[in-house]
Amino acid sequence: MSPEEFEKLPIIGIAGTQGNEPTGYTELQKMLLPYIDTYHSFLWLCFFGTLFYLIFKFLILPIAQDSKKKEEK
Amino acid sequence: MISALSERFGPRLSKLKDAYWRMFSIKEIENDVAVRLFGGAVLIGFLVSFKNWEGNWGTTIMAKLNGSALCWPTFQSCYNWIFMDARPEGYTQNTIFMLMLGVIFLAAYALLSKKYTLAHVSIFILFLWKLYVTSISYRYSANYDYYQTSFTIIFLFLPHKRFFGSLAVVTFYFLSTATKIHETWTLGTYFTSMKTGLPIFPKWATLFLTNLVIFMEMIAAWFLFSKNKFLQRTVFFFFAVFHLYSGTLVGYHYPTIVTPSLLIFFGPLFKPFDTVPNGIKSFPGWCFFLFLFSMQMLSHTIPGDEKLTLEGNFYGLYMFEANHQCSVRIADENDNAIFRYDSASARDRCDPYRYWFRIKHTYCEQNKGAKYSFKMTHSINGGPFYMIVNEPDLCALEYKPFSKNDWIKTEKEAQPMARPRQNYYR
Repeated sequence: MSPEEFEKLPIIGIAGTQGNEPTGYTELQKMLLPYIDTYHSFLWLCFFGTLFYLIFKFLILPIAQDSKKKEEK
Repeated sequence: MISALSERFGPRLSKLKDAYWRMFSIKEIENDVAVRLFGGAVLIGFLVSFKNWEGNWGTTIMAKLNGSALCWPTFQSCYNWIFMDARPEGYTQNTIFMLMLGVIFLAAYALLSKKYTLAHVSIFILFLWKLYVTSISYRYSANYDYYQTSFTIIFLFLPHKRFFGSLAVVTFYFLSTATKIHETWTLGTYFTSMKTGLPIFPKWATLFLTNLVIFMEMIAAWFLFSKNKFLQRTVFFFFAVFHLYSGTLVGYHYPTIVTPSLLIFFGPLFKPFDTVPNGIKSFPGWCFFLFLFSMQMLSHTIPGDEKLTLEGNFYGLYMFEANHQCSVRIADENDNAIFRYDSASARDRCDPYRYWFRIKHTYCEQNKGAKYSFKMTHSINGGPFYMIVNEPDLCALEYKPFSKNDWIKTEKEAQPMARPRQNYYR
């Protein structure tokens, strides 16, 4: 749902929120909204990238090096 | 008589103690002050958890009778396992929890007086008790319970306790970002949709701070292991301050469980690891971390935004996953409301499962064949109120714990109903 469609919805306040401002994006959030999916994809890439890098560097590589050393002996 | 007994059973007892000692790697507790302190941190965790659980009606027979006891979606028959009474109906629960307080004191004494097997056995008893109480109440699925249980498992059962204890602290930061890759944090809408916003900081800074937390937890947290003292200390200082700051919203409970382990493993006692354990002894530890990772990813395998549907939301970490508001109405065949609930508390998750379970175990069981309509609107992060449940017969519904429930609509299927007003963190 776009911010424009969202702003057209009827406003309701429940459980003590009556009288508060309606929710909505700030100007900065609106500006960034079109790029948010790309940003999330980038973050997932960082998440899995970090994970695979750490597993490879600190777990898989040392195991491989150890077994290579054993073979050489 | 005593000497005859000790002559007869002494060697067997000694063998048993040796086996126990080896099986649970108790030598590591003996040799490492950080691991001993970690045991103390685990005990503090039990103390703050049990303080809140003692006297709580949610795990008692009374809660079972009035349908307010809430079983896990994965163990919906937990009512058969509830046996305790609590004040004013009885004292079973209170008595057992006081016994557990005694065990906490005993474990603390044993740790301080270097009786490590006794300390281990005592913490094992506390762990079993916590496991039972947690299994009969879905209310005890909070993040700090998850942390404390994991820390206890590492302290009790895993070899390489110091390494895996340290890794748990950092891994939990890292895993928590899986739930933060969402507008909640990337745009900071959790806090900007609250009337009071983030504590201390101005509203315009929200987005920068929430993204800073994502960066620190996902990437920088790993530098807690760094041999570069400046880098390591900077990140450590950030997280120490972060936990104290978070307490302005979440209170004492969460920082009390997490901060001690951070201080123990990465504070003045920090020693960089030269190698990462990868031998056969480390296998259970790696399996445990694989399990934690799988649980964290589970919600992402269920279609829809788990922050709105809450399906699979509670199997991993879900700290500040979304700011919630909801309205629930359950009515009989004449459209008379038998249950109404409105919540604008940001942290009240509004899980449809909870209302379904409660009515199913009260009204549906008492009035076989009756029909109750179930309507629920739910808004996250100040977004639209979506009608996520609109069913004519609640009693006919079933809840699947690991897959999509057709009666809970996703943001793509549900109809947007209204725009909420700013709410509060209560």
